[in-house]
Amino acid sequence: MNDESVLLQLAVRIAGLSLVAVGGGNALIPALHDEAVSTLHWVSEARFVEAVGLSQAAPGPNMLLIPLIAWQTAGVAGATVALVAFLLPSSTIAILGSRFLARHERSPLVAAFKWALRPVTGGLMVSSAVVLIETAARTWPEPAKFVPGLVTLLAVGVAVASVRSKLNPLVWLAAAALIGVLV
Amino acid sequence: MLGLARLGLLGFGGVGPQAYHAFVTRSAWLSIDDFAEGYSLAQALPGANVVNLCAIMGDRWFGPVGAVAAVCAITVPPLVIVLVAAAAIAHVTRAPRFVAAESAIVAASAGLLFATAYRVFSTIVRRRALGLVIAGAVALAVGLHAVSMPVATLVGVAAGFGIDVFTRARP
Repeated sequence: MNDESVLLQLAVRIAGLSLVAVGGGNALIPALHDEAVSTLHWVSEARFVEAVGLSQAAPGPNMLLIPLIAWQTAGVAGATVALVAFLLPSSTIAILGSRFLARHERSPLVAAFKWALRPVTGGLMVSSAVVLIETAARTWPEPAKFVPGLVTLLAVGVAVASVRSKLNPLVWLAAAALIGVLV
Repeated sequence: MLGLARLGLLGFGGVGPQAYHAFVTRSAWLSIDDFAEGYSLAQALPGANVVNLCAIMGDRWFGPVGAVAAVCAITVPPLVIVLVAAAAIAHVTRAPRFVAAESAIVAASAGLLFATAYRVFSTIVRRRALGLVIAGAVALAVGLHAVSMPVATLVGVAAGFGIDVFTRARP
């Protein structure tokens, strides 16, 4: 394929992913894997796993995995195309949806809809956290019997500490990194 | 906007908990209730949660230009860092201790997510028991990989909406 057709393919496929990406960046990983590795062969399995690790460990929203994969496929032009293709559809929908709800603020149906969103948000956050714990246990070098227990303990400890204090969350991430280096 | 750029540069393992700290704890741009409402909407719609939240808030405060600026502020600076980091490590093998620290950060970010979920839940003022049941069902269904996130979101929101509308006391 020539460069332009790769960029076009990235734009079309990633805009499509943007429209089904409910639940945030991490929820998107399986669908992205299907497209990028299995179907369209943008990157190898090894590069994909490396990109997932990097996008988790690096700062910023986890959706940066998408421009990162596109960068591996087609350089800076690919990353730029991927970023715009992913952000434009979903951000437009978010803005229009938010304006619609603000306009009909007094409707009891809107109140019921807003009420219904919150428990689902909380539930999805918990399930994403569980997926992250699994990821941490899997990516720990030299997996040992104590690793699943250790990462769970780390997560629960950070949760309790974070609820009870107003410190910047980075404090807890840094403490965890230190534990990771020392163990 | 500088606040958002800073947020983008700090959000390890997902930006949700950092967003809470930046918007609510430190700057008081949003009340905890506004945060829960905005984040819930951002999460229920397709796209990256915090990016959606920034688009919504940017639009609410400064119109479409604000939305574009907010989305760029939250995505572009960290993207540059990620790409530079990717280019830097492309040819080196990473030390196991470094990988262990990465994994520990991922585990800790799971802990921060638990805490943020707790805060979102604490903003539900009516029908908390029903909310807890729905939240638990969603967490279990998705956490055990029985249902995908879009399906769980659709079913969970529809169920909560339906129950709330049809069981509300008629005046």
